[in-house]
Amino acid sequence: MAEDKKYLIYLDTGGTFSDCVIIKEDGSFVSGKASTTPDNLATCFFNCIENAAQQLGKGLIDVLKNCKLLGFGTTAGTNALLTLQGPKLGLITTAGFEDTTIMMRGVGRWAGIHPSISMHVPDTDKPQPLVPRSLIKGVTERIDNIGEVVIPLNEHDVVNAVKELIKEEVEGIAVCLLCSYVNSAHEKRIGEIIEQIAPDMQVSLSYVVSPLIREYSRSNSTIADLFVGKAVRRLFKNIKHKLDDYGYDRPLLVMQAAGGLSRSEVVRPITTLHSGPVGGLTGVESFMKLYGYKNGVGSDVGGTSFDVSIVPEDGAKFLREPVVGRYNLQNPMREILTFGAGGGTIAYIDKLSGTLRVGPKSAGSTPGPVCYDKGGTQPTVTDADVIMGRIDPDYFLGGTIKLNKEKAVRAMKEIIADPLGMTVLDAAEAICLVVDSYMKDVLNTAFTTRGLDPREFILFAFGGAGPVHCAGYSKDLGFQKVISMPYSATFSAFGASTANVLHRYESSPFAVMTNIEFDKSTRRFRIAGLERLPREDIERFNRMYKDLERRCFEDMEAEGFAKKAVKLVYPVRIRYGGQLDEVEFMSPVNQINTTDDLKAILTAFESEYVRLFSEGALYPEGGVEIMGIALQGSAVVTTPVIPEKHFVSDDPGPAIKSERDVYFNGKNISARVFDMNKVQVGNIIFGPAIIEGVDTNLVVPPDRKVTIDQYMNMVMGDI
Amino acid sequence: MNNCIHIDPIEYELFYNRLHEALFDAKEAIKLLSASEIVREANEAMQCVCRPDGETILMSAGLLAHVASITHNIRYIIADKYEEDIGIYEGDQFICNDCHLGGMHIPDMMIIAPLFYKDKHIGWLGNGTHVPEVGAIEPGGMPATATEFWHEGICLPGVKIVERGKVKRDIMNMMRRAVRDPRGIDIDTRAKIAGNERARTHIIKIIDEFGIDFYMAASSQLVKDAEAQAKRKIKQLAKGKFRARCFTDCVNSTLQKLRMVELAIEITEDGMMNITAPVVSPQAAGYNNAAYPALEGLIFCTLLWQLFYDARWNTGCLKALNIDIPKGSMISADQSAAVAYAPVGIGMQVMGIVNELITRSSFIASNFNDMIAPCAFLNVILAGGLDRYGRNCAAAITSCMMTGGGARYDKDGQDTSVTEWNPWTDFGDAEGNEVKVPIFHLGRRHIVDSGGAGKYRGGSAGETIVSVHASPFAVVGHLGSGGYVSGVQGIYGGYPPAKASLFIARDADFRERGKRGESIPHSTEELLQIYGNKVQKPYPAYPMTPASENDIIASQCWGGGGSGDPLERDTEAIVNDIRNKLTSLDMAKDVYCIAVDPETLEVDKVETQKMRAAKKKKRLYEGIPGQKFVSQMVEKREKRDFSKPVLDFFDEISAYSDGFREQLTFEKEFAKKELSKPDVKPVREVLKLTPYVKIVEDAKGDKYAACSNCSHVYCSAYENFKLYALIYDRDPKDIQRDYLGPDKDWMIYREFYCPGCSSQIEVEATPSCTPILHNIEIKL
Repeated sequence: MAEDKKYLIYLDTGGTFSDCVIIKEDGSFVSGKASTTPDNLATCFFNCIENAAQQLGKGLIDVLKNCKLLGFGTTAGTNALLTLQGPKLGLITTAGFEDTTIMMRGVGRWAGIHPSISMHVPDTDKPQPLVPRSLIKGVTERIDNIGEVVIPLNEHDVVNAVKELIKEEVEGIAVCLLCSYVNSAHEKRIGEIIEQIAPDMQVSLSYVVSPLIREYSRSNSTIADLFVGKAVRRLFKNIKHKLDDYGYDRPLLVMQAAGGLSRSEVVRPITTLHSGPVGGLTGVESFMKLYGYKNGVGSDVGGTSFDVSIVPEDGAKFLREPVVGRYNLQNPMREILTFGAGGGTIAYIDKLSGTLRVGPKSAGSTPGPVCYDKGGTQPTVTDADVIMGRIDPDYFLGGTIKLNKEKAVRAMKEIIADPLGMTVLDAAEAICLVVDSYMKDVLNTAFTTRGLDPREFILFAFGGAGPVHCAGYSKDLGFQKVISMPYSATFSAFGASTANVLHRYESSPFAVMTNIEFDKSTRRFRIAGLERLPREDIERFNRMYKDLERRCFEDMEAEGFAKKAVKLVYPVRIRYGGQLDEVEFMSPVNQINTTDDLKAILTAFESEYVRLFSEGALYPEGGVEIMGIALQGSAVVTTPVIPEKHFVSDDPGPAIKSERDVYFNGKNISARVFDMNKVQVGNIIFGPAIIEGVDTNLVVPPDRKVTIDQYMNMVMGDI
Repeated sequence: MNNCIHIDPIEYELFYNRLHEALFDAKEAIKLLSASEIVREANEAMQCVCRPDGETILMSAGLLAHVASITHNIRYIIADKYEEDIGIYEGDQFICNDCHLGGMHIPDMMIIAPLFYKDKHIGWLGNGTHVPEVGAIEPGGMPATATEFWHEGICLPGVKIVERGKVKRDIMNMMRRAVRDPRGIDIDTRAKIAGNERARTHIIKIIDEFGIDFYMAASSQLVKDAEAQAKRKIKQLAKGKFRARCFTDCVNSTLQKLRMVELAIEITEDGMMNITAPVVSPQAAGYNNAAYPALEGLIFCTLLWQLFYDARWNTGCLKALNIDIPKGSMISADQSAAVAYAPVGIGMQVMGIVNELITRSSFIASNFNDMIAPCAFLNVILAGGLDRYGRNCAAAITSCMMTGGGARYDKDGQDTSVTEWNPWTDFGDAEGNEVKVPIFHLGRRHIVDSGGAGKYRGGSAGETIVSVHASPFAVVGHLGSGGYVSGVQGIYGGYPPAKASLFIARDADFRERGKRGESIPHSTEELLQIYGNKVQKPYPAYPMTPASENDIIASQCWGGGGSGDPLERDTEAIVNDIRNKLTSLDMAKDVYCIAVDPETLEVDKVETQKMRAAKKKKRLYEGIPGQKFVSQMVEKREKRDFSKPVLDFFDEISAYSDGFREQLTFEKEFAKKELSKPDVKPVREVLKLTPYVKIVEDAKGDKYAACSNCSHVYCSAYENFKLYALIYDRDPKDIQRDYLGPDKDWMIYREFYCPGCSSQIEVEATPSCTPILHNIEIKL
């Protein structure tokens, strides 16, 4: 391995722009941007690197030849699912359940639509199914919920189904049978039969893709893996081919929604769905490590959405059933809460009540806010920011895009200010107040529903509009600190560069313990032995965990990591008998062989349960049900080192570039504008102020101050 | 200027968002802690905050129907002067499920907590969930054998369950002892207590932030806002009086007879909606009645998602409604009446009526987005007993919500995804149900031809085929109706959906057949093919009965009503439906009249045109002119020349309902009336009354109803144009084959054709000889 290679390169393809960071040996980095080319993401991939390379005064080939690791977060899979551009596929399922992915559990009518819109039932429809009904074949078989075969697989049905699908010229076959999450024998056999009849056929088996309970979302994941696979693999192939030509000879690492990287040759395509925002989350995790913080929360305000990722001490949670586009899936996805609020969010006057409403509709990137001058006519949050002077229309994204403030003012006057009898500036501030307050409320709810206290957390604000609004949405929530970074607009790409190689695997053991003794005063379990947990349930639990480990080590080996380099953790999902929702926590053990093993698991469960729902909610009478187990394996790859700088001065004077009027609390106040490139460690900037850079625009209100810390990040606090 | 609010509009919006999030958080906590499948899967939980007088300020809900339930119960506590002896203290909570006071039926349990701020009682909190087992005469909460209210389980009319923050163990023990699944009621009660506590903590913080004076003023304003918003939406509707109706055959599992509900709404100039029931059957000794609070809640819920969807969600909207329903009727039953099936049976049918009424008015007002033909109600499998671990369990199988929506303005109804009382239907996975109760699925499929046929068809329904599995003792029952009639109507010439049935095959050897590699049943059709005479077809209200691993239960859901003349349905849409197993070739040929190759599914356009022309010609031949048709009905009524079910129906409703007798008298007069064909020369179109009928005006300013296709003039605009159409009573089995079609002795499909162009302009699913309904009295 040559040691002279000096760059780490990471890319993130967004809806409008693709971002790239090139990190140098000393940890400093440059960022680049290119317009996303949805028809061929390989184009913007290289344009973006080239743009960043120019910041270094280098050429594309030069940096690639000198690159030791290249990571990539792609929207190719997500786009395929959103635009329904995928191959013709067939589905084989348990006879009687051919309509499962057509009926979509009813939830398909409204999944992925904002509740305030889906409330109006006549206006909602299911999306097109990924596999049409005519290409779904049922085969006779049934396995029950503990894995016993009740009706054996009718192989004659399978042969007929495969032949019919071949006749229909499908390009791939997905297989999802009922209860295969607990016994995969029938699916395996179907896989073998397809292999015999059509050895070149692409096949996706549900027990491999997602061995979890819930047949609807498991079916979707199994199908989606094939559906997006073609586009994703083609993209990787194109990129790899060109990278070879340019002299890059290291692996192409791909970001996954589980929060880690994987080699492009190994990665399962479906795991790349919604992986973009996860870059931000891993960035938050790396900053937490850097600063030594236990609890962090990422707040990413983009054009259309406000993405919140909470990372408590035991790690961010995974979504049980994420929705991508309009489809419920099951593949491991870090929990990022998305709300309809961003720079493009549209403000309007509610016709019925005459009150001001903001969102959830967004002008998106096309036509975008009125000030973009690309045809947008409805005032948005960004328009309000421009009108109030929070964003300099001549210095948006470092001046790369000129904004039309006059148009924004006209729209604001006609659509909001005049009907409310307000001035344009007051109307603009009202929009910001409402959107900030909304973001603050959902942020607060996100904490309380998880039994977490914001006062124990550090808030990281990023995304194009995060620094513009973080003072508003963090106000009074009591965060220990609010931190924004000079490269907040490209933080997701930076975050991806801090990720490790990671794989997550899940299973549903359904192990049940009834009539467990408990202490009547503390209502905690008293575990005296293993007899309350049926032997077969213990065996299933142990077997499933061993199987997950085996798969993890196989995949990690393919990634180039030996067993000892892989760090494993064991999240489990348990509930009291009779309940329907589980509590997820890290299990201290992954095998139940002794009473102490069981005690350790249940004690951890009780602690987490009390943390979430209080002592009064303990319900030991119900016994417990172990519904889900997971295994996360990670291995460390080279990540950037952010250099620590020494204190220079608390006086930010040399960084002042101008002064301008900014509207705060109902009046125009003269605010100093600072150049991000010129601020130095130790500078204390009192509000009202704006800190501007190519990739950030931090608004500091009159009652706040910002300190530039040792990593050149901006730490906001009260005066 | 904003006319609705008198407080700072921005602060007001901030307050609203904060309150909304607080209630959402509390509701989510209830869901997470609940033991009820329907709470988890169907989102059946709600949390609200109320003013001191009980008026709901805001709610967070999956179950919108309960918006007024908490209000009714609070008002009971106030009116019954709890304060004087029982006491209302900080930290108290009261459990309520007496649906005659407020709520839907006994399983819907609500907990109300007084809200104090600095020692002052400033309002109330309330929440509710559906609890699966309530100690009725059968396991599960909705006993099909109930004949009176006291058969339906434990009744808790505002019982103090928490005093000054401490759960009253004696009351909890009493509840646990009164039901078969003490674990379920215990967990769910604690979940709701926790929900109120959570809401209380959040709201106190909000008051600290905004101040108590602002809180009180803004919360009252939210109620006023809702009222104003509702009235504005109502004003957008066409003014006039609209009528629609539905029929049921269900009293309970042992008694079936025809019963009907006819509702009328009157839209006034000042934005009020007056809702009356001109004709309604009396309450009966069975579970398919509704108490008034349930009726009010369900009507309101429909209006929320169909009309008031962008208003504030609170009881202020109710102030725009005047509801006047005869007491002692099946939809305003007295306190002795069993009502267990109300929220998913007759109550949901009433919601379908409201769909039709709003749709008819919206069409005239060109509010096409709010149009939806009547949607389905529910048939539900109930299962309980011991699971493989010997634990007591009981649940309603949530695939009961594989129900169809009614057809829309220019679209079909949504398939298997519309449940009237919950805009966010999620019927759960079979695998999820199987870990909860000892059942084993053989199939969950769409039922072919289940949506009402029409130019735009109703949404298809699904069916569930299950057996018992791995249980030392299990019972299975079925909640439902529809053994003989279709309970949902079509609109504008579209047909009702197919009748939904229950089938049971005892001692079926499907496990052995499967092991031998032979076919096993995955649908009703296959069940009948394989087990033939062994298959029983019991009435869908079926009591909880022991079941074995060899018994198969097939339950069919209801679809949505169709809209428009089926002969106008796009042939490509029909072929797609055939391909997707939603429409049969027989339906395509016989009802939609298209010539389609059964193998290639290619449509012969020329032949199709011929078939459709022939069908239209047949309508002209078969259809009886309105007055003659009415005369024939009058004659039959006089001779009592009806089938037994219809005879019994006429006897009961004629004796009970003034409205029904008035309709009979009107038709008697109409039969004798001298009619002359109007000689009209329209000079302008005034409005479109339905997709097929318009109002035109002649040079003198007189207005008439005329055909939108061929301009045939029916009658004066103020008369019922249906009386001037060609009319034909069709055996429903001409439309829906075999068990999908209603029994003609109970219900016929009365078709109305334009005498000029023979378009099918309306269809009534009705017992024969019932009066023709005057759907629209437009105010011109």
